[in-house]
Amino acid sequence: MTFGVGIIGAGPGVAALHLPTLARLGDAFRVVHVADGGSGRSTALAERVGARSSTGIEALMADREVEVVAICSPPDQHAAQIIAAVSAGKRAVFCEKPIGTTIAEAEEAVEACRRAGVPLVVGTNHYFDPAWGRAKHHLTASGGPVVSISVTLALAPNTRYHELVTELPDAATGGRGVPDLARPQVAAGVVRQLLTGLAIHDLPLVRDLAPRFERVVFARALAPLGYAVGFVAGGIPVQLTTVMVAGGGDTLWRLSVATAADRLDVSFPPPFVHAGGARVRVRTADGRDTIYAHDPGDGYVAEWRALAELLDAGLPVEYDELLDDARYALRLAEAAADLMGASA
Amino acid sequence: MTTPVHAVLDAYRIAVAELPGSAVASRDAEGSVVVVPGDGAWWAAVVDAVAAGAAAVVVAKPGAAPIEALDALASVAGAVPIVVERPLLRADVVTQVGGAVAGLPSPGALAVECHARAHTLAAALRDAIGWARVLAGAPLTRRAEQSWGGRALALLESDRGTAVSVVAAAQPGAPILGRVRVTTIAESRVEVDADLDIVVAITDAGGRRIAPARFESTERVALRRTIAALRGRGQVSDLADLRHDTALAEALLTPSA
Repeated sequence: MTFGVGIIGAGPGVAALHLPTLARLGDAFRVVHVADGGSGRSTALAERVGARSSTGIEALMADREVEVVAICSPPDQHAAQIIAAVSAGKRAVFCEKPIGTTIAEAEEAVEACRRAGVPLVVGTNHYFDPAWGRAKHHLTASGGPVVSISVTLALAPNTRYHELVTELPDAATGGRGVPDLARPQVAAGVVRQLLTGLAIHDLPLVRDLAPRFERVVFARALAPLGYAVGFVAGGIPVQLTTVMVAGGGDTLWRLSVATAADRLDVSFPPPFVHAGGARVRVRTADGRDTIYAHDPGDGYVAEWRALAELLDAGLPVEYDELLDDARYALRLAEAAADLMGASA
Repeated sequence: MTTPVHAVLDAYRIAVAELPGSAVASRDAEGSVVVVPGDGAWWAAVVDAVAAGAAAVVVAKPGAAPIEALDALASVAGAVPIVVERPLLRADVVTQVGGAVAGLPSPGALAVECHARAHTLAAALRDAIGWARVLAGAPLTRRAEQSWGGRALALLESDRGTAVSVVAAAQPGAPILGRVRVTTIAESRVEVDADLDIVVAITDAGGRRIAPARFESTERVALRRTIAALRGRGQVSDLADLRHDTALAEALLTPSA
């Protein structure tokens, strides 16, 4: 069965990510409507796939061919748009992370889906990456208790990868503004935003291993844009170190889990590209170096496939897990920003 | 010309044999390079060696020492060269990496991961901090830290503004000396991964280069450096570096109130 998709948002995340990804899913989905927030970019995107376009969400919500709403707008609009999709009687919602910018928003959005029985998938592509299943299996079967977690991210410019999966007009590529991190309030806001917008790729995985968030030990904004955050969850130290670099080497995006017995690295491919799943490597004390077989599937495709399976098979949705992921990320972000504010 | 070396450790007797043109075994400490095993209260043995007239001292694979003891040792050692053999922080690899990063801007951030068995965690963290110091290209200062139950999280900062994020944890199954990984987060990314071996990788727009493996023993490296220092062919700052790294590691692993 083919489901009609209405996409809210017309930025690079749609042009370079979701449209090319949906093209990889065969007949499972068909984009029928693209809506922008006033930029006018939806017209060109919609033309690419033979869909209708509009500005604002009203026309998209009223479009009967839209069965699945994909929310790819700025984060502060996500919760309200989830609720609007449910109210409009849509069959399912795909929402980019985060689902809300406050816990109350996230709870309201998820409860709306739960009450209406509307499947909700959040675009946490690293969680859907087949390599994470492999890594979890290793950790469960032979790794022993987790003693630390570290996420290291050197993020090359997104434009480098946009060019590999689409052709964007020059005006759409834009550039990263550089905030004044010397101002404590700005720095705290940057860290909060990056934790809920970037670190959130990995926080569901971290929560899988260390579900009980306790406290932030340090939080700092890094120039030109990034963060160093250390926090404790369930007694486990977690380190997040990220910088958006201006050029140089390709993106390094590595989640490292040290257990009592070994060190497991999950190295994710750069964003936007479809280069298969993450690479999983385990180093043991005696020097054994195990590299698990590489899965050709990636998290971007897997998250959409998961939504198709929810719709086709009527599988139960783990609303509480989605909500707990959101709470975890938002509590961390608030605690980090509070600590930075307190120490300013 | 050969330099006399007074060593009780087999590994150093072998190193002397591997330096037949530079070193010769000696029964006497006075006037010799004295090799002190790095277990127990090794710092007291160094003081004894200096008092016995050692021309230089090599400390072999030192365990963690109290920073007060190292400060006291520095005042006793005076001009006597003290060379420290740190297998997780091989001096020859440090030189190689130092050369590779010399022309690069200071990295904005460094991520340090350190795991070792509980009784070697302090020494492994000391060496991990040593790598951070080398890669940041400047001394480090504590900005925040917490330690509990053999685990620690910390933020350090270099004099040049590099943020150094540190996670350390006791790991029962870790390699004998521990496992250390330090990654610079920059356009030219340097990654040092040290356990039974040290692997150095440099990644930039041109690709990823792995530094050649080192096949010389760490003991021979230590002796070569010591002999070179005695002959005026090189300065050693090993003790000062060890004090810097130890002070931070000790502070990071002190349980938080």
